[in-house]
Amino acid sequence: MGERELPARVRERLAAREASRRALARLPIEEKVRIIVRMQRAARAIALATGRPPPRVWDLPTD
Amino acid sequence: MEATVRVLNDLEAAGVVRRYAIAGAMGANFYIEPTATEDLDVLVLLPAAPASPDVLRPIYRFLVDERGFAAERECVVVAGIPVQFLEVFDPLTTEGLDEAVEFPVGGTRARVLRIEHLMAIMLQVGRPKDHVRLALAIEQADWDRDRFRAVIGRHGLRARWAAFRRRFNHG
Repeated sequence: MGERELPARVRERLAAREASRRALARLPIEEKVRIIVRMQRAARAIALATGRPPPRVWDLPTD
Repeated sequence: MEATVRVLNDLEAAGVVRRYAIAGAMGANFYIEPTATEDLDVLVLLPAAPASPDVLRPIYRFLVDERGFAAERECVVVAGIPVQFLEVFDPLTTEGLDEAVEFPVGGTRARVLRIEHLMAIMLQVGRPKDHVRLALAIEQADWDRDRFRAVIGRHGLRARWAAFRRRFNHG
């Protein structure tokens, strides 16, 4: 049996997601750092909720 | 992050290190979508061959004793970001540091390894997370294929690159 191609709507969704990730890659580093800190906060909340050691969240001053 | 980078630049201006460059996950984050990381890896070249086995002691003296930043495990927390310093340890990291480039960070500039050297180091280290970042770099970064091929050729990584391409279907 040959490989089945993904449905068009799934391929479109994946392509849109890929475009969005490429756009993220082009952000200025300051904006990327803000996103990373948000990810750290989310990871910390999940770790605390599940009883795992919480990772550090960067404590940045004003930038 | 700008405050942290300013301190790294001070470290170099004061002669504590001859040269520094951001490496690791945060280095890659200059080129790819933001990926989670807990610290900032900084490659350094020290002024002279250190007499002490504690080669990073001058950096700690400058940051902890003189500037008052906290040492935590293997890092120094500089302006809110844990920074891990690593002396260049082989020809690949030495070349990467030598050819590193500058990026604006707020009102200052940070030196960062070129993406081609970061990719070669990901290949060399070879943990699953390095392979994930390498795949992201291939897809998202503006990388120079000729430069990358030259780097992996000089540093004996061609076989690893071929294995990576087979495994992840990057033609």
